[in-house]
Amino acid sequence: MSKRLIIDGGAPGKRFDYAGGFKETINTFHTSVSILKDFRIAVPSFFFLILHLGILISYLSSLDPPSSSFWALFIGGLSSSDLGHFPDHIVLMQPILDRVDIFVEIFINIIFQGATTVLIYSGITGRSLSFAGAFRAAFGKYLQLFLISLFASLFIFLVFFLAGNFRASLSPIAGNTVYAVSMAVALAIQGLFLYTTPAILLYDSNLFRSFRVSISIAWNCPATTFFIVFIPFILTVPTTFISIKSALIATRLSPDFIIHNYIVSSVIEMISIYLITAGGTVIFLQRMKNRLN
Amino acid sequence: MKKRMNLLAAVLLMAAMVFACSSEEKSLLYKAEKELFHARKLNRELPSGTTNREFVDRTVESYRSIVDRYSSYADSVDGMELIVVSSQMELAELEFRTGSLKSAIDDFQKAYSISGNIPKARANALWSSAFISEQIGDIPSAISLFEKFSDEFLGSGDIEKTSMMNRRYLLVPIRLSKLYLGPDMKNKRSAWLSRGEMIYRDIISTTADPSLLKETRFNLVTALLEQRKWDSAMALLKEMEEQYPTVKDRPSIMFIEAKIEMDGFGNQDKAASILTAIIKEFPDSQETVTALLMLGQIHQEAKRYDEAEKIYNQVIKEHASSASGVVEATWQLANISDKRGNWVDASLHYKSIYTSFPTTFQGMESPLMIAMHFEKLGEADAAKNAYERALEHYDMMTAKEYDAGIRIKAEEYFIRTLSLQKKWEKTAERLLSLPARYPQYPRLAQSFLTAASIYEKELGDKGKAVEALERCVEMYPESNVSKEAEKHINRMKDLK
Repeated sequence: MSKRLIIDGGAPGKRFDYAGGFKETINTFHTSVSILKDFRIAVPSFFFLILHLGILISYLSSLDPPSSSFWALFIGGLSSSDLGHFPDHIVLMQPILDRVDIFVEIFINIIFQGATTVLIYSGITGRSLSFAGAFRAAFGKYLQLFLISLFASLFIFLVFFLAGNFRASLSPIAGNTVYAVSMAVALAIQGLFLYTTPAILLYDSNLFRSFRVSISIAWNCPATTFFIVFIPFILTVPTTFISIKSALIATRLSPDFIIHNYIVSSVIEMISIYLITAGGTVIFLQRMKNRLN
Repeated sequence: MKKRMNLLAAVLLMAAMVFACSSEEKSLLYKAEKELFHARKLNRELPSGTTNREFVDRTVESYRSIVDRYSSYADSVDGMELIVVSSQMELAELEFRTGSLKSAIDDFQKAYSISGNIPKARANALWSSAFISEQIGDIPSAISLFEKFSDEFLGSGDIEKTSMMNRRYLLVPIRLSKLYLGPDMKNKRSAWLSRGEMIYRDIISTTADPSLLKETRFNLVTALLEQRKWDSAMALLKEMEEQYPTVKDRPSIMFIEAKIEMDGFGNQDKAASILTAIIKEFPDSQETVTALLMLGQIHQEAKRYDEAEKIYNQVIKEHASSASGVVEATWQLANISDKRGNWVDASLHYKSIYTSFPTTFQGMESPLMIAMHFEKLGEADAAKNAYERALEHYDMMTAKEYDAGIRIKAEEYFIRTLSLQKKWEKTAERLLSLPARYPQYPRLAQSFLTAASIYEKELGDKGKAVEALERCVEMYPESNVSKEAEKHINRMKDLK
């Protein structure tokens, strides 16, 4: 399965052609959406959504120990009885599920993303779609995918951690600037890791090679990589912003609104992750000189 | 396919188990908390002073449904009693805030009866129902409820706990002494003042809390003053002067000393010198305006009108932010001008009072003062015009945008104006309309008796008098007023 990778860096001097990069991203997204004519490609993403909704339902129905004790573990100093009251149960939902999401992203979502990558590849190359095969391939590379996901998450966590500490000593305006910069750095890290999953799954690369390949592609088409990461990110901004203000919304307006926001946010996240995964896979395939077959 | 179905069934079973994790009891408490949260939200969103019954009723209903639905679980579900009692208390508070005073009393009493294990709520509910009874003029109920409060919360072993709930509860004995007003109630009045004195002395000898100690010392001074124990009060104030030498406390202490010099010892000059000291040493204190007004009064009583006018003008000029101070100063300036025969100035002061401060006592009195002045001079046309203007003024103040208390006050002045003009038929009609227009105020039942008296004595129409009294009996059965009305009915029927 292993092939020698030759990366197409595009025409010299066009690396920072943002108009061209934007156009290419739109075409990529168009392709990503077009291939959904075969509904099976979207199934892993729907599994991702169902998982999120399952977590939500499970949380909402946990008012008593032992199930509430499990959720209380995610926030230090919280006891299971704190979660048995209204509106505390709903107000605490967002911070608890945000932390649960970190684990889901690192440990589980990689399977769905991996399966989606394989299915997109089959869809684009016209190969027969094997749903079970896609998941088998993802499970087969679980360790590499998990480590990549772990490293990316650690880097991003580190950026926000440092920025958070730095912000504490700054004025609100300077602090917001630091936050914006840290967000840009986090997006850049996500861009650098964008092509690792297709490299591992479609080109059988090992961990280091997949990372090198990913960086090479991101380096050679930074504008496209940037837009593939940035546009889906923009989609998630409204619900993310609302979830930041969730405690205020819960106490002032309606606690149920937080639940609605979480559902909408899960749907948007599903779309956003699909676009990033599909976009990364399409660009990865385009940048290969050798056909995978 | 079969394997997949089995997998699906396993997932569904797990989900069902997760749902089943919540016990029914816990869900019930959670539901109650959720309903209380929504009721509170409706309450919070009510515009202040709202008259929109639809919004108010919806909020009242949401609280009431919590109490109705979950009361039966108060003993069996941990935490439910607090939810039910909180809902009942908030319901009563909402009714009080929106002017449904009789319902508020009933609901506070219900809160009192269900809050056996929550002393703070129980005390608040009992005190509030007594307070509202007093507000609506139902003095017998107010006395009975305050006495009940005293029995339950002001016993020798309860005072410390009660003072920690709310300091105003300690004033109940003084409040009760003021409710026993009639000459035949002198003994009760003194008994409550003695009880208050005893409670305050007990707190002073035992408490270590400096703020409670200070507040109690002031309460003790009040109890002593009400009992006319001038020397004891003055001795206590002298101690307090040393204990509380701050800019905030000293003027208050000095002001009470001035009152004792004036009312207790009849020493006007000493009182004036203390008041002057307050004005000079503490020009920004809360007591300065009152000190100025009292000093003006001393000059006025001594017929030193120029000095008095100077002081009242000082209040108007230098303390314009104190509305009550300004209105009292203007009222006194009008009185002085009237006494000095300077009617133009006096009438200007009266007009300024009732246009700028219509809801105050002086604002209510001013239009009548003008009319009565012309009547005294025998200027019938001018008096008639002035009375008509007064009626228009009071009628305007009975409009819905004013607080019910002010509207009732305006009604009383309207009736007084009609009676001063000897328009007896209209006076009686207006009196008879009051109980139906202000059903929350049982003290207005008295209007039936007054109207009946007018029909009988001024208009010589016993039929209408009996009719008015019968309406009273029908509207307020079992009340003291209706018993009085029945007596008059029997008397008039015997006369026939």
